[in-house]
Amino acid sequence: MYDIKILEEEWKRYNRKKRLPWILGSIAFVLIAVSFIFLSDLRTLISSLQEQEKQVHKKSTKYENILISGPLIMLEDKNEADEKNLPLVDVSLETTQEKNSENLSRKSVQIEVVEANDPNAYKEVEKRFRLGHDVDDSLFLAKAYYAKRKYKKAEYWALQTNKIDNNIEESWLIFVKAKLKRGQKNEALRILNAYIKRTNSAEAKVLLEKIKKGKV
Amino acid sequence: MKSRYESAKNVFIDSIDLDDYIELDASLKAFQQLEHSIDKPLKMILLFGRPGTGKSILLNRLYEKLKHKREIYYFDTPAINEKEFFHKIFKVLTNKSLPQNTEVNFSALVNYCKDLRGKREIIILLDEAQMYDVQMMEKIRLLSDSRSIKFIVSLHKTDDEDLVAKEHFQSRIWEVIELKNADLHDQTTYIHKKLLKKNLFEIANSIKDKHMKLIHKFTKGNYRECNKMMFTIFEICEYYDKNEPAKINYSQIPQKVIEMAALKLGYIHV
Repeated sequence: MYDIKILEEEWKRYNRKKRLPWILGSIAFVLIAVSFIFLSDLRTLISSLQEQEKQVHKKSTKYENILISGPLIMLEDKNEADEKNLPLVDVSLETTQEKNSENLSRKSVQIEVVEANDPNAYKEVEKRFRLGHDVDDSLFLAKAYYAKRKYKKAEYWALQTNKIDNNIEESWLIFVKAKLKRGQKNEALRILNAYIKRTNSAEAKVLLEKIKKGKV
Repeated sequence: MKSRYESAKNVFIDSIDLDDYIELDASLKAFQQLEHSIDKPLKMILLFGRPGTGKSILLNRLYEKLKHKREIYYFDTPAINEKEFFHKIFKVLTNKSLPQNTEVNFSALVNYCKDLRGKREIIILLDEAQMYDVQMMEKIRLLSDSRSIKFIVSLHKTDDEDLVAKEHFQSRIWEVIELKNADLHDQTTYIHKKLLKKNLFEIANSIKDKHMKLIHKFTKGNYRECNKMMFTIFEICEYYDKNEPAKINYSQIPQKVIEMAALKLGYIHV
């Protein structure tokens, strides 16, 4: 009788060898399956991101429209060039990726607003302003709040803008109009007259006339 | 204590014992063909096939069947030389042993055979004839030309050369009977019948179809290889039965055991 133990060991080795292609095949199958699932998920993720991006773009456009169509932009003699210089336009440009060299030279606002009406979006900008004291941020908030008829906040953010840079006409005009809306007409006229005296701005004069006629 | 597998193991000890002979469709056909050929006026009949295809047992069976009816002789082992072979022929023809220190004169032998034509019809079964050289085969042919001796020659078919193709075989009128390895059905029947012949029904039943396929795959249907394989399988089973009974399933032979036997016999390698 030959040694069964040795034969058993030999059989174990044979069995392992016999199963190896099956094991390798199974591993390969699992890897292929996992890769397929992963790629499929990745594709879904990419398409969802693209969809999200489209939505953001859409919202941003909407957001831009809200502000552009807001009372502030409805000032007479407002030209396109001024509009382009609005920080908001930067946002729009960022999101639509239409890079304008002039705008690029300015500090980009990089507003990560998903929804223009989302209060969190404004808070984000406020937070960023406190960190960077960027007039683009504060002016954006002033315009946005004014458009939303939140005049107290609009006044506050226009004031913050003016504190940093007192030569931003748009900010001064929002400040005056916000005061006016809050019923502080005398104060508004005093500030506007002081501004006209300092800058002799045509737009400010137009606004003064409108206030006097009660058209604002 | 005697293991149940010991008897099963001994069933497959390779032998040409007629008690162990299993009648299969293929072997029955070959036997009938051989019987029929003997009655034809042929000088030589060639029985060939690979080793282990049942040539020897077929010759043995033929001998046993005809020994009382015909003048038939069975040379189961080949003569080691020409001298010994003609001594055997001399004894067949004369029923006498050759005196010591004498040799058979071949020409005289051929003439003697010619004289016997019509008087006697001798059949000589030559097993393992591949052991004879060409010269010897030529002399056998000359003897068969006398028409008093009919040779039934059993030859191995080898991979290296097909003996049937040899010139001296081609030039003669031969009846050729080829024995082939068993197919799966025949081999299954062979194994079952072998075991049932010894009343080992349970063990026969423990070898399932899948095992038969595996055994056929390893042995390629060769009866000798099959005997070796079955012997080894039952030997391993016997070991487990005696020493580690927990490792063996009595209701069916484990595939592991069949593969271990195949490893042992070199059908598969690690």
